[in-house]
Amino acid sequence: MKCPSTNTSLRAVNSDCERGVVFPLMVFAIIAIFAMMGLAIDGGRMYSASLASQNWADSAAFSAASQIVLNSNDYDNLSTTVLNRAKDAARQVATQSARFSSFERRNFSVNVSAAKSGGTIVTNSLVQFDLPLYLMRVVPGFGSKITIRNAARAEVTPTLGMITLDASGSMNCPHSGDCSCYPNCGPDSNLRLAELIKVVKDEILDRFDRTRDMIGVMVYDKTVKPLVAINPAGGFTQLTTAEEDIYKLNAKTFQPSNITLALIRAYEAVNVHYANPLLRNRTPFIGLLSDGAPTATCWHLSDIKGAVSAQFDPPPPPPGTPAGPPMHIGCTWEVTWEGFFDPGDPNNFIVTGDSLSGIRDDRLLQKEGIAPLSTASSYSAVPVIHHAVDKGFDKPACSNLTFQGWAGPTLAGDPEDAINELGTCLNSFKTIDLDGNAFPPTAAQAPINKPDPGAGMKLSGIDEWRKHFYHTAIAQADAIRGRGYTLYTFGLGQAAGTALDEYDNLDDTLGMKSSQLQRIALQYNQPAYIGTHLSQEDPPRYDYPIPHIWENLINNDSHNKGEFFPVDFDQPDTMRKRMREFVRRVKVRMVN
Amino acid sequence: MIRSNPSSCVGEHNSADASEAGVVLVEFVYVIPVLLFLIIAGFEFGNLLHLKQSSAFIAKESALYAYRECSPYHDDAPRSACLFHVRERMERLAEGVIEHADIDIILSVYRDDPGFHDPNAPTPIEPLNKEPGGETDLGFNSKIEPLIVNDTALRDLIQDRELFATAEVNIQYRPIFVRILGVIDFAKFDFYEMSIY
Repeated sequence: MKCPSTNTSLRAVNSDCERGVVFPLMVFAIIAIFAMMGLAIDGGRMYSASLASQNWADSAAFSAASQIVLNSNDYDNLSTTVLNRAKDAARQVATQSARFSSFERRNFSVNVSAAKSGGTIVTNSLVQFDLPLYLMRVVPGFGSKITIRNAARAEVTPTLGMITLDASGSMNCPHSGDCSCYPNCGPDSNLRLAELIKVVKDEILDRFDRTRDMIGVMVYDKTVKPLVAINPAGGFTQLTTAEEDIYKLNAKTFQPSNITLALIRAYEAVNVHYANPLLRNRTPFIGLLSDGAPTATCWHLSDIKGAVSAQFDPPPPPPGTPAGPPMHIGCTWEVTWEGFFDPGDPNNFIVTGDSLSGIRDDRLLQKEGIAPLSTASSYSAVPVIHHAVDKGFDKPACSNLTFQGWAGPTLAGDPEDAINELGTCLNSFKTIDLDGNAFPPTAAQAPINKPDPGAGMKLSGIDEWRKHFYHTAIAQADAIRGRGYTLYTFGLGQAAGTALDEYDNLDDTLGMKSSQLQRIALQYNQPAYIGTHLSQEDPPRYDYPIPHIWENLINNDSHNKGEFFPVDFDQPDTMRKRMREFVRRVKVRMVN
Repeated sequence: MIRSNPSSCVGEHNSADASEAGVVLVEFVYVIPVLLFLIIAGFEFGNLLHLKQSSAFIAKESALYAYRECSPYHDDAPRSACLFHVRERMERLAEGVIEHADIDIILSVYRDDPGFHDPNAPTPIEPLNKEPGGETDLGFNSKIEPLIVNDTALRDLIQDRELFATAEVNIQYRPIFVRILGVIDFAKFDFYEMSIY
């Protein structure tokens, strides 16, 4: 029967002449439907397996690079042993990751290679396995399995940074933890400092590539001294035994730790090299090692008229930094205590000619768990102000200056003779408290022991001083981090605040960082968001008083993280592990 | 309707449509659920792939984050606080990319740290977001934790690396038709992804 080809009505389709057409159509349709189902189910599985195995490959490449960092410091001559160890570690990690996956894997393999590429070592991982197909195997053109491949890459990068070691009084305690010999422990007692230098040499310096990594080492107490210089031509000179011994013998007792100054000097030293365009691809870092709280500080002065800045060599700003007001990160004055606590009598503060503040406190806090004394009346000594002559700033210059800074507490408890030391500068020295009010810099006018820290830093006494030491150190750290530096802090207690941001109050025994810096921002009426805050709705956590810095932070988003390694300096084995971890973090980078 | 010319094509069509109007409706009623099913199935399939992709991403980022932030701590309080913080943050991030699904992240840092704890065994750090010795809010368990003490391969890995962080991401998703019907616990999909750093 011949069917009319022109009639397209429904009636015509259902007519007898087309009976039997549906059957072959249905066959095709069912095949097509199954093929689509197969594509959906098996395609989904392929996609999921591919996503999961990308994670395995990432972990493998990362692990291989970590092993190379830990086992070699000469990237021009990577030994077969090192390479094999890296490959083993990578395979192990990938295999263990894959183990928790529900995908059926056949012929699972992890291939790892490492190659020198310019100044870096690049590790490549390739994770590969066969995924059985459920439905698509019936579709012509597909087999019973499909191979899933995923590759990843990690880098061992050359670094640029400065390690700063605390050499203050408490570092002269033996690392056994028994500090009863202090201050006469002497160089033969396995001092914390000697042990620290040894550990830094073994675990940090010996793991860096001496021709590529640009690393320096500084020691600091009240002041800062270089121990290993960064080589301008690249690399670094090794710490020698002679240098260790020289410093060990010269280690002084009764020295405070001026973390603020250490950060400033380290920043300056590294930034000279970071300004070199050839080194811009490195992430500069500062490693800060301190066994306790900052016990000395510098004043941060915002140099409104720019007169001080002219006397200093300001660090070069990163490229693209908008021009801002003259900035000064500097240590104009050092503030320390005159005297020390009698080890036999916690209430007795012995005045000495040498400057010291926190030795007794550190020991009490760390070893005996006794809270520091809280009132100024417990102390028979008062803080004094010293000129920091090494910065080239002296009284005659100040007659041309107006300072604005958070110097309230520094002068609040001072006796008249300390005030007098400012001489004519006092007339132009404008002290402003955190509420923005002019603050009378005399003891008589300052409220003493006001218990509410939120009302401004109008307190006096040891707590207030400790806060001031602490906050200047943290503010300095924030400023440095705001310029793209990573800060790694080793230690216990308050030093942590220099590296932490989100959960800084964990180790912030004073619990003041956020609120304090917020108040400073209020003073300038320009809140800044330093750090990794989640959204604009979050409260501003990290605000810095120097407008130039927060402008830089906001505009360039250049804030870098800090990382904190809790290290007990009396436990060298743990310290070694943390330092290995530190090296791994500094040098290993995932490459997308 | 006026039929001026019953033999014309137009008239024939009108006549046929009139007689089959109900049939089309019935057929349409039959077809609609199938179409709806296909649409919803396609939607759900895309959703599931998205969840799978998200869970892989979150697992990797969480493990890296926990590794970088929390691995140095050996004391209970800051370590727990750190893991808690990282988990909170990653879950907030996850909520931004995942809708209509519940998420549990189990974070752990495992470390071979003789001297601080048992000198002969690696130190398992309790995974977070679960009751001690129990399961998470959504009823998941860490798959790694039970193995960490006796499993040779994992212990070797810890000793070799000295420490590593793991993130186990569990996502529970209820398909849209379950939600539309308001049926609870009728059907749900669980996703598990983990990552080691």
